[in-house]
This record gives sequence, structure tokens and C-alpha cells, in this order.
Amino acid sequence: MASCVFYMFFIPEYILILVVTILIDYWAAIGIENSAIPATRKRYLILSIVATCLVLCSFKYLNFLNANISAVATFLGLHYPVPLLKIILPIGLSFHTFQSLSYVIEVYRGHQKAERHFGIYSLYVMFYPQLVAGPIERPQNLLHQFREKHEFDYSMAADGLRLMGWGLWKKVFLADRLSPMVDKVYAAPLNWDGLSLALATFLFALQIYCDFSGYSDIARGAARVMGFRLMSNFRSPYLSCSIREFWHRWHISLSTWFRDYLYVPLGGSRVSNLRWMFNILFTFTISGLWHGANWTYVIWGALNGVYLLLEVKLSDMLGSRLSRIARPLLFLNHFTKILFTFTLVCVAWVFFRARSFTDAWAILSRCVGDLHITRMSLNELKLFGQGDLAIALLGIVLLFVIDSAQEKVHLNAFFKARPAVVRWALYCIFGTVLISQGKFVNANFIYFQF
Amino acid sequence: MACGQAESGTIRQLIAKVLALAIVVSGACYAIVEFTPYLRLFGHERVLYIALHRAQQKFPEAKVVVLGDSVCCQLYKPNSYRKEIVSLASNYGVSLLGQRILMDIWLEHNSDAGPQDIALVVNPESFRNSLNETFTYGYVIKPFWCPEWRNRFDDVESRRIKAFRFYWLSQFPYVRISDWCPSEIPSFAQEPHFKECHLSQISIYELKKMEESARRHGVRLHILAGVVRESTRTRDFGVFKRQIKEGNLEALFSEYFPSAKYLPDQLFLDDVRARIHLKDPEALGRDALGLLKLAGR
Repeated sequence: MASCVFYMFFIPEYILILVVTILIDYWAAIGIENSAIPATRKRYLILSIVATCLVLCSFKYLNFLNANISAVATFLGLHYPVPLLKIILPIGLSFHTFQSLSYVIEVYRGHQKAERHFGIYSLYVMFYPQLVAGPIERPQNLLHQFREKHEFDYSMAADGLRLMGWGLWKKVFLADRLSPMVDKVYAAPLNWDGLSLALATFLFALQIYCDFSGYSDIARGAARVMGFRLMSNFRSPYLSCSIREFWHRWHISLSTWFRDYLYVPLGGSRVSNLRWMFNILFTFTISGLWHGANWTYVIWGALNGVYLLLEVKLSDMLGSRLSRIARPLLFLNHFTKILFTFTLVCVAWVFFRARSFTDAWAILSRCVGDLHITRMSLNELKLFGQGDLAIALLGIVLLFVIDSAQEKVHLNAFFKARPAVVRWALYCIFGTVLISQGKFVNANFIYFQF
Repeated sequence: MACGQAESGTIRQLIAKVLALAIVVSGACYAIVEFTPYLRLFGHERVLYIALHRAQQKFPEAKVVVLGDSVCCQLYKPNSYRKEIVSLASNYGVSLLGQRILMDIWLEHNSDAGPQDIALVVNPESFRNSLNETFTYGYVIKPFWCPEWRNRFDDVESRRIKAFRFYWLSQFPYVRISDWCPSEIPSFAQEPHFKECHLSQISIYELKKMEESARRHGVRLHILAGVVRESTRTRDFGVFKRQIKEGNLEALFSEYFPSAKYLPDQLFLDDVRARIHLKDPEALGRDALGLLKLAGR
């Protein structure tokens, strides 16, 4: 009921869409489990996938398809009378459709029993902490938790509140502070020089990470307060030494979803070389399209696919030769890899954030061709807001310190082991800094639009 | 104090601890706002708090005081020291109500030996401010609707402030120190007296108050346009000029249109904010609008 109310807070009528997808998948999963005939089981699966994808595509991609057909028709000199529709994307559509698809597929594969209790299945789809922006849960992790008895667990609730606090800090202290700086530059990229564009891109990389991981932490923390465990969605992704590692650390629930339900069924890596390359590119391209109905997202996804292909191929070719040379410079090698990976990721982010391919290309061209550190270009940086930029950079340093520490130490346990007076002092300082320096106006989450 | 013990307790104890933390943090926020220059140094609306602080100081060598919006702030930075020009420039969000209060505070603290000229440098768009924008809460209600300055609001102004749903929360420590503003904004369009044109009714009201205040203190009030985009030169300001005439503000606006300094559009970051001084800090000089010459007349 609380989840229904939460969802209806945005556009109440859209609860019907959620109800329809829940009904279809609930019925399909039971149909799959009840039937012993493989063809019938497959029919239920296909029906569920088609129906769910139809709902997703109608709201999310219809206008995109329409606009592209119109552009082709115009190019060919043909008349295309179909107008663009005014469709508001239901909040969380991309997330809960994927979550319910994973349920049906797992039932089909025999890894999950179909949930017969309609209320529990509905709750699995619309559990409010993760309904609008994930993590995209697997039925094996979440469904059984709704059947278990939950009593108040002080330690878990305290952990949950701390996680929510940390997520809130990433969101309102960092992400929302960086947002206007990035928006200002990306709204009119031709008005800015290379240094400003490069800085804005770097800031966007941090903004999207803090925004999305901040939301995930709030969602996981809220669930934990109630005694539920949701999967971790981020694991210090900007400390990755390779693109492959990055995709094991960034939006883990989505990347594993695409790996298990698209890449592996296509054959994964157990196919010919050419077919494997196609599988990688296709999976990443679709992943890009999932993020939004725009060619820039498609390019972003495809670019990440190209990165991965090149990385695998180059490491196969150069392999142990480089390792032997680099061994004496182990630390430098590690740091260089992190920096190089981060740079590649930032280049891809330009396409993700830019309004169009033209803008993205202009930004990258200027970042390469017009990157001069002069008095004038440094003066331009003042337009970012000196005070806010300085505070943001301090926050970014703190973020990297904590992310790095989490690689080596279980920070929550470390924190809980400190004396109570230290913990409470930190809570007070944290709370005061958050309230005084957080940006609480117009705080929308980036991934809500997906 | 316990160290390293597993956390345990009841839900009531957890809620009590959260509430205790909220009270302690509230106290800390209150102390920071009341007893430190935090709002001037780190606050979200610090440009206004700097102006408010300076308005209460004495500047014996000053020849002209300048008030204005963010464009004026770019030309005359409030926290950079100029002997002859005292800048109390702030932001569009302050509205003419805030500018009037700043001017009154300055005049009360500098009535004996203060400058004889006050310049109000305002972009044409700034006159539209009708106290019905999101940042009205942050730039007018939070800083001015406090016990110290609340008596400067008359009934008309108080009614407009109280139209904001959460105006009463504005002095709560959490709200005062943060940038939170209610998303609901009152609309005054239904009120027959407050038809919004180029010059909002509240702007006309405050300009008359400023004119009267300046006359009472024996100072000259100049209203100037500042730097504007070249494309503004051909814009039709018929409605604006008509309202000036209907409001009997012609004397007050006599210098406004001639004072506009037109710069090429590409030197502007957006519709109002210039960036020439960032490309070339000396381009506009230390007195871009010639205020000292104005004061010397």
C-alpha cells in the first residue's frame, strides 16, 4: 500500500500501467511453472517479454522512432504525417520492467519458483525504495525476504540510516552542487573554451556518479531500516583499472542484467570471434538505448563496447610483455591505469550528457584542440562559481578518500568500532555541514528520467 | 564510553537518538548563524549578507554608494575595497524591497557623514520581480523577515511576505542556514492591484519609498541601467516607459535609459550576465559606469 501511494504521488493514473505489467508477468510466470510442455512455457515467456517490452517501448521509444522515420522521410522527400505524441514517461518504467522480466526469465530457467501470492509478487515489483531508480533486483535475492518475518533490528536500522545519510550527502552536497556548473557549460558549449569544457566533463562524471550512487544508497538504506537487503549497485567505479573492471563496478544491477539476459543468451564469449565482438557491441548499444531515446545514448553505449573490445584485444596481444616491463613501476602502473580508464569513461560521458552529437563532437574537439591553461582560461573558471567549485573539489577529494578506503577496509564496521563520542561528533559535524552546504532546491535525480 | 560494542536497542531508543541528533544539529546551526560570520562567508546568499553587513558600517571616504543586482555585482564587487565607491550590490532575487531596506539601513548608519549620491544599478528585467519567485524566500524572507529587520516591512509588504506558505519557517535554524525554499510560490496575478507588466507594482511601490527616503536624508538617488546586451538597444520598451509615466517616476528614471552601456551579445554569458571582465579583467575598469563623475556633478 505504501509503495502504491509512493508511486501515485507522481502521476496517479500511471499506477494502472504498473498494475497491467504486474498482472501480465504474474500470470505468465504461473503459466510457465504450471505447464510441462516446453512450447507452452516458451509461449508464456515470449508473451511476457513482448508485453513488457511493448509497454516500455510505447512510452519510451515511440517518439524517438517516429522522429527518425520522419527525418528519413524528409530526406527522401516523402510526406510523413504522423505527429509526435505528448507522452510523459512513467517514473521508474525502465527499472521495474527489467525487474519483472528478470523474474519471468528466472522462473522459465527453473532458478526461481513462481510467486503464487499476488500481493507479495506486486510488492517485489513495486517495492518503493528501489521502484524508481533501482537497484534492479533479482527474485532470488528479494522475493524470499517478503516472506520472512522482520523484527526490528537496531544494528541494521542504524546501518540503514548511516547509508541513507551518506547517500544524501553525495546527492545534495556534491551532485546538486555540480549540476548547475555542468548545465551552464553543456547548455551552450560553443561559448566555452577547452579547459572549461574539460572541467565540466570531469564534474559531470562526478555528478552522475554521486547522483545515482547517492540514490542507490538512500534506497538501500531505506530498505535496510525496514530489515530488507538490496544489492549493492556501485563499488568505487572510478578506481577501476580497466573498462572491464569499470563495468563490474558501475550500475552493477543493470550490467549484470544485460550480461545474464542478453549477452549470455546471444552466446556470450563461447562463439566465434566475430560473433563475440557483435555480442559485446550489441549488448552495450542496447544498454545505451535503455538509458534514453536519443542517438547520443546509443553512441555512448556503443563507445563503451568499442572500449571493451579494444581492451580485450590489446591485452591479448601485448599481455605479459607489458607486465614484465611495468613491474618495477607497479604503483605508477596502477595509478596510470586508473587515470587512463577514468579519461576514457569521461570521453564517453560527453556523449551521454551532450544535447546532440554535434555538441558532443564540438566539446571533444575543443577539449583536445583548445586546451590551454592561460590567464583568460583560468578566469573563465570563475564563472563556475569559485566558492562552490572549491567546496565541490574538497567534497570530491573526500569522496575518493572514502571510496579508496572502502577498497581495503569495511568502513561501516570500522566506524562502528570507534568510541561513541567520536561517532556522535562525526554525526553532528556531518549533519551540520549537510544542512548548511547541501543544495536542497530543485533536487531531481538524473536516473529518474530513465 | 563504549568502544567497539555491537549496536543494540529498541526502536524507541533509535528514534530518541535521531531526535537528539536533530536538536543538537539545530542548536549548532543556530549558533553558527547568530554568532559567526558564516552567512557572509559561506552562506548560499552570501552576496546579500555581505551587503547587509557593509550597510551597517561607516565609510568616511566614500563618495557614492551603489546598490543593484548581480550585473552590478560584476561591475562593483561588494567585498573588494574601494575607498570612494561603497558597493552594496547583491542579486536580482533581493528585489527592490530588499534594495530599499539596504538603502535605509545604510542611510541610518551613515546619515551624518555619508555620501550624497546613491546609485541603483538594475538590469531592465530586474524590475519585473514581483516577490513571487522561488528565490524570494532565500533573498528576501530569510534575511529580512527576522526580528532585527522585520519592522521595516509595512502592511502592504508584510501581506506579500505572508502569502508565502512557509514564511513562518524562514527563521528556523535548519532553514535559515540551508538553501531550502518552498517550491510553492504565491501568485499575485489575481489581485487587481498587482497586474504584472514590465515594472511590477511592488517595484513601483518600493521605488517611491526609496525616492522619499533619499529626499528625507538629503541624498541624490540615481537609477542606472548598467551593462546590457547590444540586442537590447532595438527592443521596444514602450510598456516600461508608459508605466514610468503613469507611476510619476519620470524624474527618477531620467538617467536610466541614457546610462545603458551596450556591449556585444557574445560578451554575455546569458541574457543578463556579462563575461567581458573575466576575459579581460581591466576591460571595464574600476568604475565601469563612471559613478564618481556622477557623484561629482
